[in-house]
Amino acid sequence: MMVINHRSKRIFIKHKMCRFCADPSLKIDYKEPKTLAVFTTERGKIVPRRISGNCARHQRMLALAIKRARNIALLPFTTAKVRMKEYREF
Amino acid sequence: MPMNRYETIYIVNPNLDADSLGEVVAKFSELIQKLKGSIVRINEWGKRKLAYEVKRFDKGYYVVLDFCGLPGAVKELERNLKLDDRILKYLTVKIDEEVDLEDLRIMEHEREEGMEGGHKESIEEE
Repeated sequence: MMVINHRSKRIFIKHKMCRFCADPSLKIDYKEPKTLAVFTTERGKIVPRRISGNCARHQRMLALAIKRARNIALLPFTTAKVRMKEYREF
Repeated sequence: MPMNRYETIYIVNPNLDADSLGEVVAKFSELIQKLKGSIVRINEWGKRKLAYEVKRFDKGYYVVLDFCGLPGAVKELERNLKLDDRILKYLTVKIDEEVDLEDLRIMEHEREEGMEGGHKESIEEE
């Protein structure tokens, strides 16, 4: 599960590894927003696989879990607080 | 008929007093039993901040209802959750298909016993 970025032949040779494969005790559960929040951006978007380094299987599971967590208000769909305030003043 | 295992999370209005909250939880657990389902576990998370506003509430009382039942039971449960205006939101997830109730009871028993053991392990790791 090691991916070496061939494009950046310079100093960067990152050893990306799926965190869930490396540590089987890590569970993907939509009821644990803290674990899922690690894989979302500040805006609440799901971090892509090329950044997080997850394997395809775990990324799929993660995406499903994040979407479920959003549905039940454990994670935000988006965090655009400024826009929300402006909207309400109307 | 094969039963499936489901997990329903619902968010109750946080401004209700303890009695009404208890009543809501009891109402839906009784409903499951009425629909010939069997409850595995009820987990009340208590008041939590919502990630976004739901019906103008920024907090909610979370309840996780883990149960076994027929697909029709889920339909009826969700219908009732929808009708009850004390419920802000709900989500049902199918955990397992065609479960054996006896197996589940044994598993749940082991889990409760294992929790103490698991706790010790985590301390050792530290």
